[in-house]
Amino acid sequence: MKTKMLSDRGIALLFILPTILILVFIVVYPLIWSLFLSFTDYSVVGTEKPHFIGIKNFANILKDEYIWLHFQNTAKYVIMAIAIQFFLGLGIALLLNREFAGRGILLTLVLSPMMLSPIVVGLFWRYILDANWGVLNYFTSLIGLPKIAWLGEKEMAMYALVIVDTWMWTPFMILISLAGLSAVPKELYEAAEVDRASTWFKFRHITLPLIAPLLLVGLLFRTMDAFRMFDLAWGLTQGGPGTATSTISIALYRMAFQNFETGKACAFAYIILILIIGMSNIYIRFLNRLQKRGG
Amino acid sequence: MRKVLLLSMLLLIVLTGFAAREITICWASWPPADALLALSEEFTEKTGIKVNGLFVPWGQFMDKVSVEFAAKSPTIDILIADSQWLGWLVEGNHIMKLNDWIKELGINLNDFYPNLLQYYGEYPFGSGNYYGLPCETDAEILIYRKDLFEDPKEKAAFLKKYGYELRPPRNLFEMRDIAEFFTRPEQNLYGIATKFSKDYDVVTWDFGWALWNFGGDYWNPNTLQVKGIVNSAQSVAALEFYKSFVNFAPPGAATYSFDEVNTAMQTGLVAMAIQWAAFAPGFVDPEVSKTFDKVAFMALPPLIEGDPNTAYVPLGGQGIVVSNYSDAKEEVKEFLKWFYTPEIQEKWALYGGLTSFKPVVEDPKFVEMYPWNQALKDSIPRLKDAWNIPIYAKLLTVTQENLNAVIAGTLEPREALMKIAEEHEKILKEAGYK
Amino acid sequence: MKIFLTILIILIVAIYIFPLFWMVSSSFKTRVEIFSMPPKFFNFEVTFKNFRRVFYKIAGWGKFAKEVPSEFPRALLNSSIITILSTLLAVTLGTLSGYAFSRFEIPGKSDLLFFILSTRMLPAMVIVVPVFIMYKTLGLFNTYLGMVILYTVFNLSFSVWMMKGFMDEIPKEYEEAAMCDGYTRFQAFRKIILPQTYAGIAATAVFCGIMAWNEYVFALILTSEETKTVPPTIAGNVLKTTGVNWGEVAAASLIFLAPVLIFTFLVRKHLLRGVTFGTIKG
Repeated sequence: MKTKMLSDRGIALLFILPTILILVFIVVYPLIWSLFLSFTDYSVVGTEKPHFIGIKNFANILKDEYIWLHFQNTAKYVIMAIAIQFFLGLGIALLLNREFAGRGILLTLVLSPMMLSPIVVGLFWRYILDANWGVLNYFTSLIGLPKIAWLGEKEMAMYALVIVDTWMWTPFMILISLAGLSAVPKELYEAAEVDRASTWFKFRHITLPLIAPLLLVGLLFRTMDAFRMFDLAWGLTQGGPGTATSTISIALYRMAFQNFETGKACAFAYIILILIIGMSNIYIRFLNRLQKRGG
Repeated sequence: MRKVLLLSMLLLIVLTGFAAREITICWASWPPADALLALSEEFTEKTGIKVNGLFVPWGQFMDKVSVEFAAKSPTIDILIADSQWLGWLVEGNHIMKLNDWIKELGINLNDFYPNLLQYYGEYPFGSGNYYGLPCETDAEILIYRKDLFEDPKEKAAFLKKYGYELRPPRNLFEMRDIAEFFTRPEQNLYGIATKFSKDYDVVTWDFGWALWNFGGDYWNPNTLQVKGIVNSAQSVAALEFYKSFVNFAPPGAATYSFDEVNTAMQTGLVAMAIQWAAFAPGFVDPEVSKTFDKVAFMALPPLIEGDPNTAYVPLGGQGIVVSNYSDAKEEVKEFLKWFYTPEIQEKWALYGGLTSFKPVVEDPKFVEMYPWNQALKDSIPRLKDAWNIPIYAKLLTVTQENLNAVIAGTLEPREALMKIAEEHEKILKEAGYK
Repeated sequence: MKIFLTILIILIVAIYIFPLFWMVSSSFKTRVEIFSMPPKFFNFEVTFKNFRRVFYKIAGWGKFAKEVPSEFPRALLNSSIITILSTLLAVTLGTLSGYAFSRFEIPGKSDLLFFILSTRMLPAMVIVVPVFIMYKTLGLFNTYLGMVILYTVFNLSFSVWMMKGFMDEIPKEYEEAAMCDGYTRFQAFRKIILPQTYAGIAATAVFCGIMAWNEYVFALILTSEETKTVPPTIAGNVLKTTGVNWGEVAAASLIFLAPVLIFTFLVRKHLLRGVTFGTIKG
């Protein structure tokens, strides 16, 4: 018995250690490094060694009025995009959750936006959204609307970003929802059928409780990805016009790789990190509670 | 046996790979870079030295270079660097001082225009230390629709409305009148396309044209004073003037960068466009432009005709600098020797490069070469540049964001310039300049 | 009701697929037609030049213009190498760790799992600077190995969590029975458990592969000419003297999309089953 225990432990160690080591190497080690840098005035393009400047970087960031703007933009974008994608994804999945000819091809096509490179999506949508030669404005002009400068106006640019993000990432929610729906045992519906339950009742009391945990996992991953989204916005607006679509990722990139304030960027990164970990902690706890209740 | 053969072949390839003499040129990923690479084939034929290109998108050009240099990577041998980068490149000790090479190779500095030699190569100004030589001398030029400008009906209507003849603009205000005149949304025609975007450095340089000609400036390069200069009455007037172009630009112009300005002109959306000369070939190419046979080029108009102090033109383009980390310095030296000869400089111009080599530019053949060469030649003595100190990138970010906000209508010109002044003072102070 | 639903499906799918259709049609248009207003949906002259330009670009101007091979094929090769290796690595490590987390009592298990998940929350920007400095010191800058390790790490949390989910679904009794029959733990894992998770592995691999295939910022900063992948190459070729030629961008993007699309189509059944399997019970 004892030898078996040991071998199990050996296998556990053997199986987990590589993962942990590689994470420590690429994530933890750099994080410690950047924690150190966040207390210095280091610039990656400078010639000088880092000088210790205490919490000045953190203080400067928290004082900066622009920073809060970036957080606001990010929040606006994340909330809008995630909410739309969630409902749209679930809705489309409910529609597609039946057998019909050509479903496989159709599904592949509908899922294809999320297989494109985000930078390419951002760039190509600039063409689609252009005020003068973009095809979207052609369609809106057919119903008599004036030219809309989707990427040139402060309010519109944020909506444009949300539209493009929704186009690209709703497929993920469709996929997750479909996966959930296809796992609901058919017998449950049949039972409800016997009771002549309404469609809404079936959805509310059979489907939803069963797929909720999966949807929440999908939502968690989407939220985290939206929060750190960079490529798409960079291709589409670069944070413009002005600072209208400047999210924290873009602000961080500018700080680190355009202004080369490496120390300050590290400090900013830490502030973001703490916020995200806090947020997802709450999220995961909520998820766990829900699952315990459900299952 | 076959294995041995294969291995030895592999070894041979590797060995010859190492033995081959080659250099890598790093530049932004755009057509002049491909042209330079194509021209370099002659260099390879002559010397056996292979020339590689490492071309990076404009938006990430500086990021990429700084990363390579911070890594002291020997990948880059020659960098075709923006004039403003000189400060950080020199102070970071990333690039070589070229004075000895210039002497050794017999490059005659009188073959270059003094203002260009200074902007692309001398650091600090007036020190006589040359780190770079002009390579691609770019200038903002004006592209206009000559078919519209010469249309008798348009001419008559213009004369009636403004009281003077419709002609290629001779000063800023004529240009604005023309822009206003041709703004006809119902015909899907607008007056002007210019680079309003916050992309890279575009709006800062396009506005620089109005700014300098109105007597304003981004700073005083000698005293490093910003407050009272970038927000002086002249500067504010310049921005008010520049902002008025928004009304005569197509919808969505606040995002216009290089390519949108091109497309606007090429699709016949605008009557005039301000664009870097490097993009000029695209305007006369029937494969890409609907208006290829309807355009003409000219130097940007001044504020007051004939007054050189109100006739500045923004300087663009890049100079050649040599990486300190290069492991092929001898090869680079040969390249420079080859490149700075009248023969090759003339070819460079023919390939679509923008040379400012005096023997080529002042040859009467030069203006015949391409339709935009006259505009370029007229612009050269009038070229002006902004900052080149190491922290210029920070100054630029602030400027870009605030100017773009003015264009987008979220900030008033006076406020925006005040903000720029304050931020710049702070940045300069933090960097120890004051 | 059924007709209404069918129309609704068609409408939604049409709106959804239109941008893709637009990309495909643009890739066959000349630049002048790309910008024509009103747009040309079908009645344009088909040209294959954009696809040719992806592989051969024009250098020089006027009578000095010549066609030279582009860096795209090399970038495609680089992307393939990096994606395949990093996906293999991420899925392998994920499977092993997933199994261990699912089956064994490990001290501080939930903390470890949360730590692994939290690496996914990190905005990539947070670590790009230190990773860059570290890579530069270790000589991993501009190497396949460096990019493979990096993308493996980006995918690891996803892969571990997915695979743990799949393993949880497989009853413990399976391998206990096998071990009673004389299998060692490792043999039971390899011969009994692993074959049951192929669907999950396929699903995980698709997601990991897509991420590695499409990543832009790190590829841009941490690679030079030798190991540059496709996304920075496409982004770099956007600006021409002519302005952006959207036809070429579209053509390059479609070529780049094709392998992923084909792979996804082939494993689509597993994809659905996989996702369910892995996460339905968390």
